[in-house]
Amino acid sequence: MHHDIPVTENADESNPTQRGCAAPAHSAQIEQIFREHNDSLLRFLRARLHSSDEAKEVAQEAYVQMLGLDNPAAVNFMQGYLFRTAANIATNRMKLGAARRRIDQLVFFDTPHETRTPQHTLDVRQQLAHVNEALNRLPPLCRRAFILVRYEGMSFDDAAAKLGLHPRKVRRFVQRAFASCQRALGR
Amino acid sequence: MNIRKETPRSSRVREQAAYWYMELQNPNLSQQKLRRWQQWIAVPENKRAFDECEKFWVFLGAADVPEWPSDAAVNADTYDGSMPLDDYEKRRRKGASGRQRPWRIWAGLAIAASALIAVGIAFNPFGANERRPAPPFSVFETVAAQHENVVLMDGSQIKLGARTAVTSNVSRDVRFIVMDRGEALFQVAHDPKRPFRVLAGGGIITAVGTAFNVRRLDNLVVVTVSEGTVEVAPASSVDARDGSGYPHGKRVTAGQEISYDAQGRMSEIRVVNIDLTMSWRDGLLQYESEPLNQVVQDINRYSRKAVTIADADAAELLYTGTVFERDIDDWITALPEAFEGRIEVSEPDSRHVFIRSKDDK
Repeated sequence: MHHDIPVTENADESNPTQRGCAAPAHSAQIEQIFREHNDSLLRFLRARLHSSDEAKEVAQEAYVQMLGLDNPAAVNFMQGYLFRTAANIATNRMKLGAARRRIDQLVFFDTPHETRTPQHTLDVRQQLAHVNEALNRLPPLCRRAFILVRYEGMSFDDAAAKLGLHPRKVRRFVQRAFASCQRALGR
Repeated sequence: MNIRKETPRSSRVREQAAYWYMELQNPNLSQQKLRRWQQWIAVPENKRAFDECEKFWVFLGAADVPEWPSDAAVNADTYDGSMPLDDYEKRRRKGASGRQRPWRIWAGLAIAASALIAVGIAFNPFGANERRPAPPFSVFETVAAQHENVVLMDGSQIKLGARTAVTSNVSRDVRFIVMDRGEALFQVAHDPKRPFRVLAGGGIITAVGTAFNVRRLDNLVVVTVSEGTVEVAPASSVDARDGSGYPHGKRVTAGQEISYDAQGRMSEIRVVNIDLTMSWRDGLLQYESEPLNQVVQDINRYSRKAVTIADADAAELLYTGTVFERDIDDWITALPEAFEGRIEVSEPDSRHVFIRSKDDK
């Protein structure tokens, strides 16, 4: 019995093997859940942690935690449990290592399907100019929300408290600002 | 009837992707929502848009922190986030001047052609010449960096790119367009009794009810289909005076592209990224491994300066990237750097630019 930790970004990427400690029946089930949700779990975690390395680490930790469960519940319940477990680990990390929360600059350049021709460098400079322009065109309140969340690293909840808005509204502002910048670049 | 939707698919997906990207960061995200997101992201197009969000979020980190708005500005702010900013701005512009960008308006109205035209006129009192249906036989021409919208008698629409010339002849039994140069997007009103034909260089394009883009270069015409199907045949298969005849050619459907030369010799049909081809409408020219020579032909339709490529080596270099219509001068200046010094740019006077490869002196 062996369990490769199924947290990979590519099928061909081989991960160091780690032995599971749960009973075989459970662990096979857990492994299957991970394999099925691997992609979306990593995306979910990257959206929260903004780092693909940390996302992978958290996903692995969640896997190990779930292997350690005494009494894993039915499969369809497990999926929700998986995301909740991972989300909790992610939240704890963010609380503990606020200093470590640095954006993984590599993500942007790590585009395997796109060859980075020199033209890209040129584009990036132009694109940044357009983004700056688009950001300064945002309606005032929306821009404040965006500055707090994206440039001061606040959580949506903290930004909401500071602006006296509902967190949902802050998410909406940030979403609209974000899509509008993308639009400005024709992305 | 085939009228383009107000919000193009791509921009709707972009809004959805941004929505989910923010929702996932909600600490109280419900299980139901999580499941809806998983269903949504199972669609490849959505997944791509979501992954684009991840990259773009990082990319934004490199931008300058925007100015913190004053309290007064915040108090005067009326935007509540309920609609995309683009729509909000459009609405505001319309409120301010009583006028909207016509191309976008008509695109939103999936109603009968006659009503569409009437609405167009009502919305656009100052630009009536753009909206009122053109007489049966008309010539349209745009100058450098100008776009124009044309409505034909049958309700079909043509969006003209810069330095583009077309002649239309709409009669009871034929809709015949001759395209002399430039780039245009055709939105064809459905009418099986009157084929819609575009004669462009060595080929004739026949559509029933559909949307397609035609880009004319010196010795090459590129036809890209965004909706429906068109048939592309050598020009010799129709009467060049009125487009009558029974052309038989290749059928090109939505998401595909074909090109042909002056003699009407056809390329293979290729699958393409429609958004890339259509981006010129938004002031972006986007290319993927396109010979510099062809890029420059487009640029020349938008630039005040005449750009000439002086030698074949430079002409064949492949360009990948985006040119912003507003920044063409910058783009030209930065070209040598983009091609890592393989080319040089000279501007003997304020109206001319020459591009040549460096070892070709």
